[in-house]
Amino acid sequence: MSTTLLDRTPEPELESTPRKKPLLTFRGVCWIVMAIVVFLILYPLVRTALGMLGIGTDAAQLGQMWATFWQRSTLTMTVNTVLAVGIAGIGALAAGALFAWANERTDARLGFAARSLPLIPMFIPSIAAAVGWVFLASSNAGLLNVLIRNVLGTVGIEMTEGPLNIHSWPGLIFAYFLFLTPYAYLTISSGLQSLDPALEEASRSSGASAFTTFRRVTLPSLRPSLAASVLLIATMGFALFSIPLVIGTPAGIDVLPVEIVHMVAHEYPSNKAGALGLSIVVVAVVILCWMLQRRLVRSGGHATISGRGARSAALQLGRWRWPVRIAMLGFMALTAALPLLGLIAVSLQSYWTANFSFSSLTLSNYESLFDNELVWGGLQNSVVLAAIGATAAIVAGALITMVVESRRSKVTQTLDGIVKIPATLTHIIIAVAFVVAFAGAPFYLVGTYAILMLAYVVLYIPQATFYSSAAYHQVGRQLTEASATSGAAAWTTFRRVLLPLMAPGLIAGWSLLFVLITGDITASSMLAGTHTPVVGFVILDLWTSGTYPRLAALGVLMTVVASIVVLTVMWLRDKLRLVL
Amino acid sequence: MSVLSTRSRSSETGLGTPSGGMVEVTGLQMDYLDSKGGTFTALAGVDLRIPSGEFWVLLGPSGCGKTTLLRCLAGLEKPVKGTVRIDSAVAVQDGRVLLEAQERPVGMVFQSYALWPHMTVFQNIAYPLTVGPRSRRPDRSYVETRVVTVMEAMQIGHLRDRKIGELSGGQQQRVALARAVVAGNKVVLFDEPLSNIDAKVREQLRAELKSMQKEFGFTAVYVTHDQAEAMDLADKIVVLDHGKIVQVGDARDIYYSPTTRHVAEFIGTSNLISGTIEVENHDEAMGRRVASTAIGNIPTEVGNLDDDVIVSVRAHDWWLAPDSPSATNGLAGEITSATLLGHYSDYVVEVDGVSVHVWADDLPWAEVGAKVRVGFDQSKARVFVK
Repeated sequence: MSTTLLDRTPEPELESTPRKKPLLTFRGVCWIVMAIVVFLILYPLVRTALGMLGIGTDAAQLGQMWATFWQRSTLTMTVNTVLAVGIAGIGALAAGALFAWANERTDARLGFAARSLPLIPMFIPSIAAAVGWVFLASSNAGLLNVLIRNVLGTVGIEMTEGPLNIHSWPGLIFAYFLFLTPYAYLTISSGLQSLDPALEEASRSSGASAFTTFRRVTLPSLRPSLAASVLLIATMGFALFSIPLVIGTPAGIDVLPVEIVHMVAHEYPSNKAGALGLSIVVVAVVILCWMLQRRLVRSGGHATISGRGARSAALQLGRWRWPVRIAMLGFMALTAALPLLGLIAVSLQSYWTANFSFSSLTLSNYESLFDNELVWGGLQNSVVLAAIGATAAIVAGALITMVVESRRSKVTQTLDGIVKIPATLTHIIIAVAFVVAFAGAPFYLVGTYAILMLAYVVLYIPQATFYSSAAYHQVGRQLTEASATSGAAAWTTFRRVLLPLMAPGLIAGWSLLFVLITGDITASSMLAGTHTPVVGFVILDLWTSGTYPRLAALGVLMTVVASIVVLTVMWLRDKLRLVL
Repeated sequence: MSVLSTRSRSSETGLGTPSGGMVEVTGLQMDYLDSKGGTFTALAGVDLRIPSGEFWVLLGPSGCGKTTLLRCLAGLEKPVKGTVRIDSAVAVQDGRVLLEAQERPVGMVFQSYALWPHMTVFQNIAYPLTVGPRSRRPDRSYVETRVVTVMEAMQIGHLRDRKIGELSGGQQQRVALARAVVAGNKVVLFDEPLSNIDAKVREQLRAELKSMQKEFGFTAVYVTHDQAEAMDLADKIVVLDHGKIVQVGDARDIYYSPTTRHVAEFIGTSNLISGTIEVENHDEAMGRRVASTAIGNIPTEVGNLDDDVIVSVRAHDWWLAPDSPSATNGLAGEITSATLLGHYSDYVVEVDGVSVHVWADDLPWAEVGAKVRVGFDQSKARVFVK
């Protein structure tokens, strides 16, 4: 018996071939990508921070920055922002918690609402929703107002304007509320999903009522996700630019993000120093909320037990079941369906009028999207930039995930934290920092596609790493270890085991990034120009010039494209989960 | 039960005992950083030498370091100190990793089997032959014949183009084992592969695994927390506790002669009763040294005078009899709990303030509250210094 089953015929010559280390290993590539991303995030921030301390800036600019910071109008804008975000945020937290609890724990659950509610900001871009509400509820020609006035007219009450007025404090707070609720819902429902229902069942079987259980068990256990929710609401709200621009500015309510964008993009020469002065306030608020969240989470006593996937018996709401469901459906109508209807109605008329007529329906606004050089150019640029940006971001996200997950250490944890900065510190701050760092010397990227592309990748890298790390965790650790013990090097394992198994998650992530980038308005408003138009820039341009029907058509187009992509991703996800 | 275990078959397929396959570990140490920045020692200086072709089982409670030790052998963990030698190749020298996981001549069977769902059975098994450094990859026709040979030997040839999701637990085990040995590895590591499987199927898979190991002749290092599994499979059992090896021996050694209290506690159900070393009749010259406990004086050789000790007596080494005025042997006690557990009963008997478990045949008169006498063969008692 010359060979045994365990002896391979071509016996590897262990000693004669010394191990050759390739110049560039897969791990090396991962680290290089990580380094580039970290540089792109930190460099603008550090350069901006140094500038604020007077390093690399001249005294006049520094003086202007602090002058803006101490201006009386800054205080007014801060108070306005705090009021709008505060009041709307409390409402959003309550509504989000109610809807999340109803969907996760009670028989009022609506499957499609549970899945699509957190995705509403992706289906309909915030600027489109805000413009839609202007078409519905502006005091003169608002379509809802006209409808209400006609109904009231039949009973003898004559009005020439109102009764609704979106351009007002209540209107602004209402719009903020609609925008913020899905984010509250997202964090609270994922908290409820990871909270073992047995904890609540134990309380119920100990004799506690449903309400006592909610107060004494559910709520305290959910403290981390409530804290995360507050942080998310505050940062999203404080940096929100599209809604206050469209709804608040005409009403004379000025908020910080609108003014920051105005100073950077619409003053000539661009008033970066002033924008930085206002940015200090935004950063201070974000840091304050962040510290608050840390305190809430650290004080401990909360459960971090992951759910076993065991669904508990849903709580019977009895006669409250339908009112809760109607509230949920009503919310979805208000935040998505109605504004979309408003957009569609205006987009089909040749001009925005109070008297909607079916006889004068026209598609000319949609045709003009493709005729107008700026609009058509913007659409093309957005699609190309989003395709490249989403690809770059998801590839970088996947490689960063490899670094972060390969070995948990203080270094990788810190790097992970840095990669998440663009989401925490808000898009508006990152965009301002980009203008400060890359517009002038030594890069001179102002008015180029390059600066837009870099900004998109940096702004959405937190989402990209989130999607890719979710995809990574779907692949069990043992599957990659089995590849290593089979003799595969890191790159082979990545290519032949991880990538095929992560692919569905990465494709879904890519599509969502594509939607986010095409719908981006913050970076686009500051970094794009008439020579480098993108959709976000064009939509603002149409708003400023009052070209409403064409604006409506563009809003509808964006919503339709985004919805198709998001729905496909949702369908794909369910489909693939069945197969795997 | 498996055809593979017959000798005639082994000569047909060219199976035999391979020459290499020795595993040697010296001074292996492994620390983890915990979340608060402290260090947790998972392995505290482990020395081990596993001869070629044997089946060794690493046994211990969860957190004892057995899985960490196995993963250090595989190269999936980097030890802080120590040397690891596998099949004449030095994998780790004084804490320096010389061979990464993919360069080590070992195969591994994972707890979940870790078969890749996007590949067929054939692709899974062929994988190790197609991923090494390019210069060493065998050509396509060799891969084909080699994989087919291994699949035939494991009797899974008919599953060739199946997807992993369509396989039964037993078939998955065979595919995982085939993947582990296909590249000619003489050492196969097993990370609790049977722990997620039904008790009935588990016994069957255990028998199959054992016969395949004998047939193929690879060195097996197998991690488990199940002592019955360990005793069934192992040529030698390595008992670990708190990152240290506490005993190495065959099933008989560790069952009948546990060297520490932890081994006695972990293997089988023992009664642990504390006591102190004394000299009987307080006469240093004449009296024997005993462990004085609530269950009597146990003669002992270990320990010094006044040492605190633990006496261990297995539950089934006790006898139980009805109390009667004339009875003088054993100790008087009272049954506080009686549970029928199938072919024996577990009685908890209160003796002089200590509760002892007694496993005996089901006795109709032995009810809770019954006055009884209990006793044990003193030669079966083991004394450990605290």
